[in-house]
Amino acid sequence: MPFLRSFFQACECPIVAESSDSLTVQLTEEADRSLMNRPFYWHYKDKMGQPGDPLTITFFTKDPGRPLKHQEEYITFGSPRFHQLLQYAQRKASFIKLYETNQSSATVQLHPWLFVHFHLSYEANGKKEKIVPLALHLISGAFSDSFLEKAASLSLSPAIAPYHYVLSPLITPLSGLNRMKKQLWQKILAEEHEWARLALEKQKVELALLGSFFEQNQENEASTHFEREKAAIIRRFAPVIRISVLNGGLFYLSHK
Amino acid sequence: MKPAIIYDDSWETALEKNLQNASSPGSWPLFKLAAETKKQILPSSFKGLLAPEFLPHIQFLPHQIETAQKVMEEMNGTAILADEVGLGKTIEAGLILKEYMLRGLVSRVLILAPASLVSQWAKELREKFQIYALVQRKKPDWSWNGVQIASIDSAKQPKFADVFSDTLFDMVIIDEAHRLKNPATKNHQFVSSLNKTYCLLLTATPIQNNADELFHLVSLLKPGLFGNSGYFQSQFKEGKRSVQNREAFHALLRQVMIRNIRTDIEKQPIKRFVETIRITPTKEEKDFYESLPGCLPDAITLLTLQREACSSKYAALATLMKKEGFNETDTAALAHSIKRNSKAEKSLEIVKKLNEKVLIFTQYRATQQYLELFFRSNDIPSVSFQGNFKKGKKDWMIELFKGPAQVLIATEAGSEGLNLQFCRHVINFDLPWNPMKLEQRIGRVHRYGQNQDVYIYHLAYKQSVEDRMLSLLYEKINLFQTAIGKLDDILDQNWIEEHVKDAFQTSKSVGEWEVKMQNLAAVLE
Repeated sequence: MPFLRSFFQACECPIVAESSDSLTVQLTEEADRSLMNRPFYWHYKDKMGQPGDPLTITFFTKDPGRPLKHQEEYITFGSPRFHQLLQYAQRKASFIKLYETNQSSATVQLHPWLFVHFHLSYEANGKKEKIVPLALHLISGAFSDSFLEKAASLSLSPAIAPYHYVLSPLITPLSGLNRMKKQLWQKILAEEHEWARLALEKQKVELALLGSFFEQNQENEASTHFEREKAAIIRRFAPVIRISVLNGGLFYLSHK
Repeated sequence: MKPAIIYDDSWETALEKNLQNASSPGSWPLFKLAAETKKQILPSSFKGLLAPEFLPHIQFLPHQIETAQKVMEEMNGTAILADEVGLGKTIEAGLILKEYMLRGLVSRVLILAPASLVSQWAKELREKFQIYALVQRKKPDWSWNGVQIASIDSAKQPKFADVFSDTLFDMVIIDEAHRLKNPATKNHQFVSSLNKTYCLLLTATPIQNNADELFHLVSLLKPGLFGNSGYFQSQFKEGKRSVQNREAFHALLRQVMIRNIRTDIEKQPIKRFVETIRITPTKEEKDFYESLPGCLPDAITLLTLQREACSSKYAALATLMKKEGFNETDTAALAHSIKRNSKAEKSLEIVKKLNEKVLIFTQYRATQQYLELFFRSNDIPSVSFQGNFKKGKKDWMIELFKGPAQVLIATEAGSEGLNLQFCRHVINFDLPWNPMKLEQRIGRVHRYGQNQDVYIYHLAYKQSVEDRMLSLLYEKINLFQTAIGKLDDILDQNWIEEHVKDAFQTSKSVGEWEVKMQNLAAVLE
C-alpha cells in the first residue's frame, strides 16, 4: 500500500523496515498521541513529567497467515485503521498555505491563488462521489485548469523565502471561495441528472405500491405505519447532491 | 429534474480562523496524499461494488458478489436473502453492509439474531469484514451510533419501545427471519415498528406452512408488493396454502428475494442421497402404539402422542406420565413390555456398518437421552447436543464429535448455525412436521466446505402417523417449490411409488384410497 509509506513519511515517522508486504515505522510522539488511542499512558507520562516512549508498529498489507503479535497490524482499505489514518491526513492538512521558493538571486514576485478540492457526493438510491479541484487567481479572478500539476512540480515551502514578495490579492479568500461555489453550481446544474430522474421514478412506483397496501385501511395505527414506511421510501430515493470541501488553501506562486 | 444541493460550510467557517492563525497550516505531502487517496477509494459510479477490493483477504464466491450487487443496484437495499442453508447468507449480508458503509450511506445499524448466534455474528463481522459491532447484552445502550447486534427478544421488551420509536436505523438486518412470518406476534410487530431506511431479512426457510406467511414477510420489507391482503388472497392464493398465478407471483417475489440454490452454484455439486427406511415395529411397539387412543392425557392431541411414540416409548411416556393414575393403565403395562426399540436398532446397524461420523436428529429430549445410553451400552462413543447448553459446552461437544465420538445426537433447537462439514451422514430418527426443519437439519452437513457426498436416512414406522405425515410434508415441500423454485430432494423419489402401493393396500375404504391418491396427485402436480 503506497499510502502507508507516503503517510508516515509525511508525518515524519521514520520507517524502520520495509518489505513488499509489510512496513515497520517508529511513531513520533505526536503520531502516537493522535493515532494509538492510549490516552492513559500519555496522561501518566505527562503527570510524571517523563518523556513518553512512542510505539513502533508493523503493518502487514498482506495477511501474514499467522496470529499477529503485539504491535503488529493487518491493514487493508477496509480496515478502521486505514480510515483513521486517512481522516488524520485530511484533518491535519485541511488548510494549507504555501510559498514557491526559487533559487534565483533576483527578487521573485508571487501571485496569490486559492486552491480547493471540492468533494461532491451524488446520493439517491445509491451513491457516487467525485473530487473537483478548482484554482482561482485572487487578482485576476481567472480559473486555472492545470493548477495542481503545475504546483506539484514546484518547490514549495510553508514560509516565504528571502527576496520573494507577495502581490496583495484583490479578491479575499472568502469571496474567492464564493466565486468557486458559483462556478461549481453552474457546472452541476448543466449536468444531465438522469440518476435523479430514475430515482424519483422508482420512488413514485414504490409510493404507489405502498398506497395500495393501505388504501382500505383507515385505522389510526395503520396511518402511523403508513407514514413510517413512506418516510423510509422518501429517504431511500430522494436525490440530493452534497458538496463539501475536502481540503484547500492559499498558494503564492510566481506563475500568473 | 434538478436535484437539491446541500453545501457543507464547515471549511468555509474555519477559513477565517485559519487565515489569521499562522501556525496551523498543514503539510503539502499530507494535503496531496489525502486528496489522491480519497480519489482512489471513493465510489466513482453508482454501480459495482467497492467492498471486495477493500477486503482482499476474503475470497468471495461469485454468487455472493452477484447477490450483493443485485441488492444494491436493483433492490435498493431492501431484500430477503433466502439462499439455501450453507451458502453463506451471513457473508452476503456482511458484504452488503460493508458496501453501504463504505459508500457512506449507512452508519447506524441494528442486527437482530437469535441469542445463540449473536456472538458468531460479531465474530464474522470483525474477522471477515473488519466491522466492529457492539454486542448488546444485559444492559443495552440503544443510543450507540454504530453497528450493534442484539437478540430480538432483548430488543422487543416494552421498556425500550420509546427508544426505538425515536431511533432511526440506517440499516436493519434480521437473521432467521422466518420467525417473523406471523403478523400477530410481538416479533413481527416489533420489526414492523422499527424506523429503518434499508432492511435485509435472512432466512433459509422463507415460508413454512402457507403462502400467507410469505405475504407477511414481504410486507415487512415492501408493503404493497402483493397489493393489500384482500388483493393477495384473491389473486395469488388458492385454497388454504397453494399459490395460483405462479408466474406473476414469482416475478413479484424476485423483486425482493434472492435465493441461490446449491446445485446451481457448485461446479461439482455434492450429491445428496436420501433413503427412507420403513421399519416394521415389533409386536410390543405396535400394541403400545395402538393402545394410545385409550389413554389420552388432557390437552394433548392423539397426533402429538402418536408422533412421540413413533420416536421412542420414552418420548411418549414423558407426556403420558402427566396423566393421573397412568401407572395402572394397560398402556403403562404395554410400555413396560417393550424391550427393544426397532428404530434404535436400525440406527445402530447403520452406524456400525458405516464406521464413520453420524449425526442423529430427534425432536425429543427423552429419546436423545435414551439413544445416548443405548449407543454407549453398545460401545459406540456418542455425545448429545442441545440448544440450551452454554456456549462452552456446545463447543466442547462439537470438539468431542470431531475427535473420539462417532455419533452426535442433536435436538433441533440450537443446531441452527452449526457447521459439521466433517460429517456426511444424517439419520432422522423421527421426522419433524416441517419440511424446512428437515432442510435445516441436513444443512448442518450439506453446506459449503463439505467435499463428499451426503447421505440422509429417514426412519419411519410402517402404517404409523409418520407414514401419513410424509404426504403432508410433500404438500408443504411442493408449496415451497412453487413459491421459491426448485429444491433438493428432501425425500427420495422412490417413496412416491411406495406410497401409491401402500395407499392401495392399507386404505380401509375406496374413499380413503381416493383421498390419498388425490393428495399424491396434488403433491406431484
